[in-house]
Amino acid sequence: MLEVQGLHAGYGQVEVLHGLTFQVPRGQVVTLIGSNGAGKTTTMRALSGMIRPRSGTIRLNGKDIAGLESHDVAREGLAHSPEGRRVFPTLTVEDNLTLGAFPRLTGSRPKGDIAADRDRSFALFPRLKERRNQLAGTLSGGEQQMLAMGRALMLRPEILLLDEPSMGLAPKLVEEVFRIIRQLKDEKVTMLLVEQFAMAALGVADHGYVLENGRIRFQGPAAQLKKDPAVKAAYLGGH
Amino acid sequence: MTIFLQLVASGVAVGMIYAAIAFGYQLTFATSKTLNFGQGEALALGALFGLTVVPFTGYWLMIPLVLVFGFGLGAVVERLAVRPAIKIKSEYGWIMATIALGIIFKNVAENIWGRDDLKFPSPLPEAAIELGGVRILPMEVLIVAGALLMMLAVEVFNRKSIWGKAVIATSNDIDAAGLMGINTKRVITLSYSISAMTAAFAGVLVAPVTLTGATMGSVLALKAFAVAIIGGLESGLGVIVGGLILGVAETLTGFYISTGYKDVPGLILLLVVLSIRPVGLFGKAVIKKV
Amino acid sequence: MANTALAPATTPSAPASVSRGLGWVGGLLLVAFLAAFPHVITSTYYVHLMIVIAIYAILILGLDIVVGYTGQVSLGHAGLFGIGAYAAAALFFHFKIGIWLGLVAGIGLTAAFGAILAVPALRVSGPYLAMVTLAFGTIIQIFINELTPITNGPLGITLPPVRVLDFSLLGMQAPWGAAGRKLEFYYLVCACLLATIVLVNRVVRSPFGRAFEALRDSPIACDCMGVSVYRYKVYAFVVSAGLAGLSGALFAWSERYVSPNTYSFELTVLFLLAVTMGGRKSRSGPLIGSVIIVMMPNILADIGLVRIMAGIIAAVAFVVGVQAFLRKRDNWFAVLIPVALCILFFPATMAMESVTDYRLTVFGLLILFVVYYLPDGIVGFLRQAVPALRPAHTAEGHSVSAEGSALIAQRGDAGAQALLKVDQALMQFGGLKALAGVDLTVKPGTIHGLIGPNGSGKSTMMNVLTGIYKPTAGSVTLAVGGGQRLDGRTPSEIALAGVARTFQNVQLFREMTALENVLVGLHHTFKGTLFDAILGTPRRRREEKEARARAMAILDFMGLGALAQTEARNLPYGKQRLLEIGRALALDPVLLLLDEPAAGLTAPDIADLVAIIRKIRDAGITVILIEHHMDVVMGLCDRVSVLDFGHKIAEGGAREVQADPKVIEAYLGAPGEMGGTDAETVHA
Repeated sequence: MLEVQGLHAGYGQVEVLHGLTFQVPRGQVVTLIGSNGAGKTTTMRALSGMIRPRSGTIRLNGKDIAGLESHDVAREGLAHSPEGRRVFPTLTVEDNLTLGAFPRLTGSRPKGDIAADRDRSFALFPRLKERRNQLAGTLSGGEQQMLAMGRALMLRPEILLLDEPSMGLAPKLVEEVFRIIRQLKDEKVTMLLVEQFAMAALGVADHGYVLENGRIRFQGPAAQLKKDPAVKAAYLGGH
Repeated sequence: MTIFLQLVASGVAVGMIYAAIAFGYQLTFATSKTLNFGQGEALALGALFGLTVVPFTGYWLMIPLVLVFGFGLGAVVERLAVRPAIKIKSEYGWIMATIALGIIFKNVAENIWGRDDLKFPSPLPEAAIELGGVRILPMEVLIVAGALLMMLAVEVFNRKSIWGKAVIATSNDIDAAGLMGINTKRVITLSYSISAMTAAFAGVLVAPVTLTGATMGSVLALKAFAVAIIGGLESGLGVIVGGLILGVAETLTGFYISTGYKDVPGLILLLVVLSIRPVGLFGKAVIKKV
Repeated sequence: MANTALAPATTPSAPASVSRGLGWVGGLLLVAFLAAFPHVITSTYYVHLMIVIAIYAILILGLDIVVGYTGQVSLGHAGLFGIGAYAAAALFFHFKIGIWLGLVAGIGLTAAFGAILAVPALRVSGPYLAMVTLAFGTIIQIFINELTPITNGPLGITLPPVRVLDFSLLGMQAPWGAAGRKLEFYYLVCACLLATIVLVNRVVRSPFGRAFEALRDSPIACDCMGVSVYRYKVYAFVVSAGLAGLSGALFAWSERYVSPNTYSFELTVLFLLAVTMGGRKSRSGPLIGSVIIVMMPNILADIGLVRIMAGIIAAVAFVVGVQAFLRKRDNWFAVLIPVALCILFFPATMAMESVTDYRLTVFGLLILFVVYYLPDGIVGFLRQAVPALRPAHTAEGHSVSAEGSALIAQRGDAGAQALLKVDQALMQFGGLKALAGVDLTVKPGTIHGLIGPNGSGKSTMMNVLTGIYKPTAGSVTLAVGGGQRLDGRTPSEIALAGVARTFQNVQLFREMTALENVLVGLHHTFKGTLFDAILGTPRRRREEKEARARAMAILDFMGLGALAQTEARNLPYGKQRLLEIGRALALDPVLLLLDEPAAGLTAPDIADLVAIIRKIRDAGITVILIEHHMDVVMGLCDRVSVLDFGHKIAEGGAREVQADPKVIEAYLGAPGEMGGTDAETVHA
């Protein structure tokens, strides 16, 4: 499904990612974990074309999408729910969802039944349904996070990138977000999850990669990583 | 009192013109954080183009042609002057380039239509209507209605159509809009097109009550910027309030002080607002992040 | 951080001696040329043209201070020019006062208006400032038109032939004949031009000029170096306006007629074109630009000449176009439009009888051309091509040997009590509490770590400590000089009180050399006034020499001595980080705040950094360190405070904090409840 090979990327003079190689198999949930500044968000940005990788390949269903602009990446079926949620504050909840299906509405992806997908999002996030005509900027942080995820799903993506879905949320909402991720997993949505809360992420993922200073430090089945003391060391030092 | 009301009534029409131009500034500023320093020339070219086609088409058919002309003009400005500057992230670049295009447009217009001011035929009777002692020109009513209708039409387009929503999304968050599969470069071009279309239409509206010529737009556009600042460059219909305030202030100045000074209140307002409250009276302060 | 690919690879400037020598040669040539010109070319028309070139050059040199050095767009300089012209003309019109007092009045009045124009410039920049200055210029034009009692309105004012020197006052005949008397004004203008060149040279190389450049490259860092952005913007506008006034007053007497329509928007744009096309941040650029904008209308008046030039341009454009097409196919469309325009220009000139009416179109096209293809102007282009022409970054300090850490002055009250005390700091943005009442005590002579997950409030704390944010509530006290409150004071005041900082995303003065960056940090050691700078007094020279020696010592301390003359933007990233710390040390801080200094650094760079931070602490400077690299934090910090959601959740020694369950939970989250199958973990 998604195969990343030797990915180098960064900002200006600074290279943040020094050659990442990892895969996300179809229907699986893979998580990237690591401390702040390890390069998790940079990886997500490079995958979705928000920044241009310096070298390396990113294959989505066999097609190299490295170097495409983000709107073209979206048309290839990669949906990215970005860090900080980034919903469109002056548009309604419903319009936000509609825009998630933009490539489908403008003919660059198969159209399908958009209304049905919107209803599915509402079923997944009942609180959004209540607020469908409200401006997204007036939603609470947790609701915005659900909207961001719902919006990304409206693409009917081949793969869904979730960047820090729990950031800044109260513990109860963090649980809710993870419940939904688990539900999506059961529906066989392919996901790449970046999380600050390593334990929760490993709890839901099939496979995990631990990033440190722009390199993959180690990897393994999620359940195994969860017990590994090295994970804690990657966050708080001391190895 | 009647004189005062008369002045207010006259100020409203010109105020709506300011509002329409300022609305155009908002559109491009929202999507790209840039604006056209040659907006006044877009207005003048719209009026002159309208003046040229009106003998062949009549007044009402001329309007859609002017809209198309303005739409194309905006795209040219964006492609030639703005996009290359955005690419190299040069603020100085787009400021100077849009000024340069404005000068070129003005100069070419002067060579095509001459340096003298021309008379634009009025589609409506020129006799004033009397309303409770206040005399109102039918053309002034058309200006107010036309400008409001134009802004309303753009708002409806933005709220209802998928490309309009893409414009708002790009204004809200250009990176996130890209992630939705929206080609934000194309959206910026679109916003320039709509913006110049608004200006060209404003030119046709205002031409019958002023004189028509290559230089008709320069000061209008500058004062409209004052209105855009007062109303908030980011968004909002504050421009209508700002336009009305300025329009009325000008007619009052023209009557009570001297017509020679009637441009001054707008410009002073611009200086003062930007010196004291750069985000405008209706804008909200942004927290600068380090 | 954009287009680093465009930045030239580390290009050392020319050896100072060569480049300075070139400057002197150029200056002497200019003097000789100006002196000889009217004797070689005796035509009054060309002498007058030369006068206009020199007058415009004075204004453009001044405009360069605002545009090139402080990086602000001014569309108001034609208005300032008009004020100068009308000041001189009106003095004669009403009081029959001659040129000398006219010049003084022109400079004084215009400088005052420059100060007024600086007020909005304090609050806004970029397009806003462009519009404001445009409005200013328009207002001036309206007032000139309307204030008939003073300006004689649209009729304008006519002046008699100028009398520069009045020998009759001395009761004698002019020592030179009638022909010589006609040249008096010419030589006066030349003298003014040369004086302007010297003045601008001295100002831009003084601490004032460095402050102008610093506020262009990073206003926020400028404030945090104790250099008040507000104050130096005003200085820049006043100096620039004064020169515009001088230029205007000379112009009134050279044309002997002033009228409102001269000082229009188009004239302002011409001035900007001249400064951009000639080349910013140089003396020769404005001279070249002035020649171009004055000569261009004359060239355009000669259609034969225009056709020849258009032919040449078309031929060059054709070659360039073909080359571009052959080299990179994906980008050729971008070149196509300008090339096609250039080529089409030729038949257009053949078809036209006269291009004079299209003068402004040609200027517009020139602006577009310059903005996209010659952004650094003719001088910038030449400097790129010929290294010897690059400006000498005067290297006086280079010979001074470093005395290491001794050169870092020490202040602050040593002792066991707290150096910095933060009491219940509350920072609220709308509904969000970025800091929810945090206490922090930093002991002198320690390295104090500040850590926490993203969004925990570390950077907010940094900005509160340095005055970039004003805390909603709570106090910050620094134990210097018996204890002083920092909250509520400006960044520049806090910097001068002894708190220096670096930035998460490096905020160097990118177009200045490493040495100049540190010199901006040493700005507080300069006591000289603007007049010291202009006159080049002994005090000014002594201060400069001392500062350069100290700056070199600091660079050596940071291990950057060899890179002193390299522009900051051309330094490797790791060196940029170190330079930023060096610049902060120049403030003689008691407290140094480092915001993620290791971010983006490679392992060897991090090792250097750690060693230097230790050296700084050993030199007696207290350090607060925000850092994500836990190994750096754990290795360096004497004490660590942990923030989460704007609260302080833990504090103590590094090991202690590392083991704190609350800290682990903040970083990793509570262990999830879902189990899984056992499998092998692959360690890379």
